[in-house]
Amino acid sequence: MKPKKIALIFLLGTLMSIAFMVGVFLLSEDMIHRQRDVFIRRYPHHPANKENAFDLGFKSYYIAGVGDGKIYLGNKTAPGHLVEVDTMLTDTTHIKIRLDDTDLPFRSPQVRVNPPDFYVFDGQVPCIFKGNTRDWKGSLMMKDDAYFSFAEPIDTTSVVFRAISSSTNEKILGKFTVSDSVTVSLTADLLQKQIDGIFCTDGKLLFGKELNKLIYVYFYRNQFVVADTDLKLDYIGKTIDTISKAQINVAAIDSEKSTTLTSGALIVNKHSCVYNNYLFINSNMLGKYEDEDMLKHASIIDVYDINKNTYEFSFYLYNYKTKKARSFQVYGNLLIAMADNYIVTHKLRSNQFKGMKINEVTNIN
Amino acid sequence: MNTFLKISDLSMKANFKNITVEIICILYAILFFYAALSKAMDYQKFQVQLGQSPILSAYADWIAFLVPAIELILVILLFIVPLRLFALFASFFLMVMFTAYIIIILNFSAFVPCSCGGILEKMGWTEHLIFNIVFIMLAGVAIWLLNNQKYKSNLKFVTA
Repeated sequence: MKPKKIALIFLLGTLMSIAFMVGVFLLSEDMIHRQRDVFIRRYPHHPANKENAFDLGFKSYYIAGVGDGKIYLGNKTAPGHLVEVDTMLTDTTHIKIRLDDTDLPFRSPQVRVNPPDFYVFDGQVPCIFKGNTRDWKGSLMMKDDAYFSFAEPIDTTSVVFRAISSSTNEKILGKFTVSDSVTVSLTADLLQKQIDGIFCTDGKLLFGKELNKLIYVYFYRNQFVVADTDLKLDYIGKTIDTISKAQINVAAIDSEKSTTLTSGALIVNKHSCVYNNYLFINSNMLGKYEDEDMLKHASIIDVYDINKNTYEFSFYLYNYKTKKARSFQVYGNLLIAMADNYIVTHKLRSNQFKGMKINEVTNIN
Repeated sequence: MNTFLKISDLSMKANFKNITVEIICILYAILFFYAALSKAMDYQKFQVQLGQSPILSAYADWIAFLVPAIELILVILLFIVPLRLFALFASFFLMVMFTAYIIIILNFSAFVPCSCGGILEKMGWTEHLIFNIVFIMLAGVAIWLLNNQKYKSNLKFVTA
């Protein structure tokens, strides 16, 4: 071949090779972004790295709240007892909560700390106490207005909750507003029944303080509900897996006039939390090409942007001493996980979380 | 005496060129053979890694099979002398594609995946880029030398 011809082949071939890769890249981006059915996760380079761990001695602790550089841990077996830990997990302080009415028939009281306020509630009494973190004295805020199963305080005068409707016997969301008296508003519109309206709509209720939005992440389907604090639907978001209909079997026990979940229920979204515009979901579903073995060593966390209604990326939250994280909370650049007896912090790399407020992040440590 | 020296000089030059082409072909064969083998040895892992790639994940099935297959075919073609020029061109373009892939990942993709799947895993992305560019240049040199030889011998044949 003439040298000229060779040079031409070089040039054209190189251009075509590059064009091919660019084309594949653009198509691939498109498929991952839009076509959720493909269900392929994107794993960037280590967005979360383990920072510190602390042995609490008991498995019964749960994250009651974070704020002002402190993590507050409630204890299921000792409901009046709180542990305050700094974000470096070096200092622990034990706190005893005092309530002005301790004679109530408590069943499973829960604590929420949202400095400078804290709340104690038990939806089976039902009651809500509120107090200040300076003295940890709680006074009765609401009693006997409505039974509920979950509650999230949203501001100093209102608490959103999940309850069972007495008319339809299905799960609904509601809100207590406390001024001179307590007003209860309920909405049956937010949670959508698929099978029985009780188990199929089960999920986790979250309050995004920074966005002032409520989020309800369904356990058994690939959806989460985003609503404003007046319980008005904003949109229904989709998680990346393909389980659009809850795969559960509900069996009725006639003798007890109750229903129960039979085995084989497919949990999609196990645990979730919200921070700023990011929704973090511990998914139980494996994507295409994902290694099943990874589930033994880590939990998969999918990150969504609530403002944009988009899936951003995923990362592995590695087990600590072979213990899987049972719950977690994100606070600034920290992911705080509870695993067995331990509280473990992971640092989130801020370049992956572009929407995070950086000054808030640096304030913490 | 003088002419003899010239002739030996020429043949030495030709020899040197031949050996260079030969070495480059062998280097390419080793590279592709190793790359294909390491992918095939842990095929499932390679597939998983491709699935995590921002560019290729949507086509991981196909690419996981195609890339090692093409590499192995090229290893064979590089040793079939009449097909050598074609094989070198194919290797050249394959390396250009790999390199374009790395450049896209480093500059344009939303994130850089943890591993580049298969080839020389220990290398960082930038080292990989340099490594690839060296190989691209080697292929270019080999093609040029090989073609010049053929072209000139053809010319001689025509003029004689």
